[in-house]
Amino acid sequence: MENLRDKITTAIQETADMRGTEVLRPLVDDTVLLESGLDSLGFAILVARLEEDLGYDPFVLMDMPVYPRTLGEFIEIYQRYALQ
Amino acid sequence: MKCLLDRLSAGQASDVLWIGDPLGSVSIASLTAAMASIDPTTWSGKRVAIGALPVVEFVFALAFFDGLVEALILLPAEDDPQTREIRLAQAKIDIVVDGDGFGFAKKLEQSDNNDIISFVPLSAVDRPAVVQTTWLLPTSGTTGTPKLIAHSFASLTRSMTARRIGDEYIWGSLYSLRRFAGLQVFFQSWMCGTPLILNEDGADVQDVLAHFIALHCSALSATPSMWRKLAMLPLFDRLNLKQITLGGEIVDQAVLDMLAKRFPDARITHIYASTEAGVGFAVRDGRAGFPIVYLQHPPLGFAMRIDDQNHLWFGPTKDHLLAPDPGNDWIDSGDVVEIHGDRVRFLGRANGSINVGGNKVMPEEIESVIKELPEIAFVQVRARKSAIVGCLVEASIIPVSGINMDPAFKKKVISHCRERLDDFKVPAFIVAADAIDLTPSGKLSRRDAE
Repeated sequence: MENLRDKITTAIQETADMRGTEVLRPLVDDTVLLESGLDSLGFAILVARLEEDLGYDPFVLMDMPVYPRTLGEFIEIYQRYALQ
Repeated sequence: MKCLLDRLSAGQASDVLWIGDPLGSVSIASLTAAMASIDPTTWSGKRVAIGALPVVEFVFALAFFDGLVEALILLPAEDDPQTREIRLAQAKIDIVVDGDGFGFAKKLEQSDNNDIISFVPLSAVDRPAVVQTTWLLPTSGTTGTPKLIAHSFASLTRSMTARRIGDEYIWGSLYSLRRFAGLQVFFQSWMCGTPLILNEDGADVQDVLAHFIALHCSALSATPSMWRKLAMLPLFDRLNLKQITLGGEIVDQAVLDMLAKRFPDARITHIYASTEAGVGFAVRDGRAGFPIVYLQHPPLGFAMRIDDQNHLWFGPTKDHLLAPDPGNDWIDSGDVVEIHGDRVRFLGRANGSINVGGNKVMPEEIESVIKELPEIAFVQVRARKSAIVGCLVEASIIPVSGINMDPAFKKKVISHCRERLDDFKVPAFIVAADAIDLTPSGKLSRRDAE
């Protein structure tokens, strides 16, 4: 699943570039998403970009909304829905 | 002047009203001769719907019915049977005219074969006293319950010049004449005695353009989206235009500049018209929007005001400026505006906004900013659903030839938007458009991204 982590961190970097913000380094599991250089709109764009890349949007698929706080939680959600 | 036919008494028998296939030029004489052969009493005071008709029969029917029937509804060609039934019931229609209509083309052909056009003066055409026909125009909205807006000859021609221009111009219309915008062209050419080139609804735009070039069309009216589409066709440069009119959508500076460059000798007019309010006015100074002084000194006989939601409202008469009571007489145009320096500029339709995390975004405003870039041939901004913020902004672009939609280009578009727009209005996605999707009235088809 390292591939998924790479895709997500690359997408975070690209989204931040597009939004003209700096990404906090290093991006680790404990990194708080909204402190990583993305605001809530950036986060929405990140999810939409990943949907293009991965073919699914876990936030549409989930029955109960879950809002990940850290990068680790975020990746875990993508891993969980990738298995379905 | 109370009805369409009244206008003809100011013209000459040989004046050309319409040019179309397969008839060639249709003069006032041909029209009055055909009209004299129809018994108007069958139709007098009735409520009539105009269904599918060849365009020449359609315009004949308009001239024949106005001032004769109680109500006239122009059914959009793209209505499904169910919508059509709803409209007919809504308008309490007695008779639907379709097929070959009054057989005007046949009558013309016969008179040509006889090689005699016996001129029937208008005064000899036997018609009952003129009634004020109610024109029921379907709104251009493609969603929800079909709505009808009532107009009259007076309201439809209120903002038009009746100055006789004659055949100095030959008009073309790129809109369906059944739509408000196309009807405006029909009425305007009629009112100033200028020939109008007729095209069948739904004809291919390349063929229409070739038709215009062959028939020396010199005055053309289209939506900004349609002008952009035309500008991408090789035939476009062969048009020889003296009058260019834009309307039906927000007119941005980029399209005005493009037309001024391509047709340096043409007079360029942009029209603001509201189906809801049944009013319109023209701006000719080559700048987008309209002068702010219009709010104090309206160009025509109605007052305007902007409410705290930035909607543009119309009052029926200038007197309302003295007592601006936003009562029943005022009509909300549904258009959102902003004041920018000495101009009032249009931002978009109030009901067409994209909701990005609670912020209202007007797609037209973003399009207008992106169009400032010279590499853009066409752009459409639309909503892309997002589980996180409701919607995200997506811009679908066709670049001018020679420009590739590579990452550097996309980045340039986004940087430009970032300089000019609030954060939440900057497109999250830039995608390549496959085709330009226009509605029957030439407007951009506004749908969400898939």
